[in-house]
Amino acid sequence: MFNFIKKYIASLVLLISVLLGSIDIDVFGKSVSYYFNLQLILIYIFKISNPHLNFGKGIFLFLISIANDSLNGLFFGTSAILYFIVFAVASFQSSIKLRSIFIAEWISFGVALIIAYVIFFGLINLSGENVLIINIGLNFLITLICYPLIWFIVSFLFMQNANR
Amino acid sequence: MKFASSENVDVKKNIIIFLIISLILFFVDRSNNQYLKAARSSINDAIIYSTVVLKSPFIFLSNLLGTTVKFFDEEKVINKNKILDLENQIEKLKNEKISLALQLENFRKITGEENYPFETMQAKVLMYKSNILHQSIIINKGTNDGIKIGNPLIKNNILVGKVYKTNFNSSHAFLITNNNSRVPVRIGKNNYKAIVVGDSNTNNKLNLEFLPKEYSFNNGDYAYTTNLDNIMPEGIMVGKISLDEKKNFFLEPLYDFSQLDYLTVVKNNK
Repeated sequence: MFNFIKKYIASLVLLISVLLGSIDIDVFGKSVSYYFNLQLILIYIFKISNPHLNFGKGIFLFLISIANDSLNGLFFGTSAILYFIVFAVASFQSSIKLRSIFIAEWISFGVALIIAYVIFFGLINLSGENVLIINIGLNFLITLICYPLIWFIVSFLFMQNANR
Repeated sequence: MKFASSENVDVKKNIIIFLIISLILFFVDRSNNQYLKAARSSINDAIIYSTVVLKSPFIFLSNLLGTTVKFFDEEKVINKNKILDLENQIEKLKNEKISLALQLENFRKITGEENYPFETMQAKVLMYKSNILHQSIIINKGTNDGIKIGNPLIKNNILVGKVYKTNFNSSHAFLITNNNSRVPVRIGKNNYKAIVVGDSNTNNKLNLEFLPKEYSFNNGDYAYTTNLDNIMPEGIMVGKISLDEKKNFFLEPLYDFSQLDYLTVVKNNK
C-alpha cells in the first residue's frame, strides 16, 4: 500500500487537488481557485523534481483533467490541453539541464503559463463564454508568484531528489 | 521541441498524442454531438457523485477542525450567574421547541419545502464551484428528472441562478453573481426594466445594465424577475438596491450563495 502511494504520489496529489477544488475556501470574498491554478504548479514541480515521472505515460494526467473539466462544467479536453502544455515545457526543461537552477525553472514555468493561458483564453472564447482578461492576468501572476512557495512545500514533503 | 535523452522520446510522443486527443475531444464536445452527449452525461454523473463521496472525509475533517478550534476558543471559566442564565435559556428554548413543533406539524401538511405558483422540484446542492470562469453549483437533478437548460433555481423566493448544463442525474447551474449570468428584472415602485449582470470582482454586488436614461431609486428598493424571456417566472426577488461609497446604485444579492444546501428548480412556468 505504502509503495503504491509512493509510486503514484504525484498523480494522487494532483487528483486530491482537483477534488478539493470543490471545497470552498474564501480569500477576500473569492474562492482560492479564483486566484491561482494549483494543478499547473503541481504538474510542473513534480516533473521538474523527478524527470522520470510521466503520470502513467500521460494517462493519469488525461483522466485527472477529464475529472477537472467535468467538475468545472468545461468542455472535455480543455484542462487536458493546459496540463499537457505545462507538462511538455517541464519535460523539455528537465531534459536540457544537468543540475537544477531554480530561477531558470521559474522563468520557464512562466513561459509555460503564458502559452497555457493564451490557449485557455482562446478555448474559452470558442466555448462562447465571457472571461475577463484581467481575471486571467491576475490568476497568471499569482500562480507564478506562488510557484516558489509550492515548490518548497512539495520538495520538502514529497521529493527526496528535489535539490538535485 | 527538442528532448535530450532517448528515454524522453516516449514522453514526447505521448504528449503529442494526448494533445491531439484533447483537441479532438474539445471540438467534438463543443459540437454537441448526440452520441457524445449521452457518454458525457454518464461520465459527468460518475465523476460528480464519486467526488461527492471522495471529498466527504475532507469535509468532515475540515468541519471537525473548525469545531475543535471553536471549542478551545470558548471561555473556560463559567460563573454561577452564567449557569443560571443558561438554565433560563434552556427553559425558554424548551417552550419555543414545543411551539415550533406545533407549527412544523402544520407546515408538514403543505407539500414540499416551498410553495410556488409554478411546477417546481426540490434539489440538493452537491458542490459549489468558484474559479476564474464561473461561480456555479452542481445539483443532484438532471434530465432524468425533467431538468432542462435554462431552468431557474430559487431559494425562499430569491433567484439563485439558471441551469446551463445537464447530465442524466446532475446539472450545472450559473449563480446570478456569475459574470455570464443575465437576468431581466423590474425595479422599485416605478417598475424600471433592467438586466442584472454578475460582477466578476465581487460576490456581494450585482450590476444593472440597460436601465432607462432617467431613473431614480430609493435605497432598499427590491428587484424582481420579469417574464420577458418566457423562461423566468415573474416576481421572484433578485436583490436589493444599495448605495456604494461613491453614491452609485448597485444591486445587493439577498443570499450567501456559497452556503446553499437545498433549493427549488422551476421546471415549467405555468
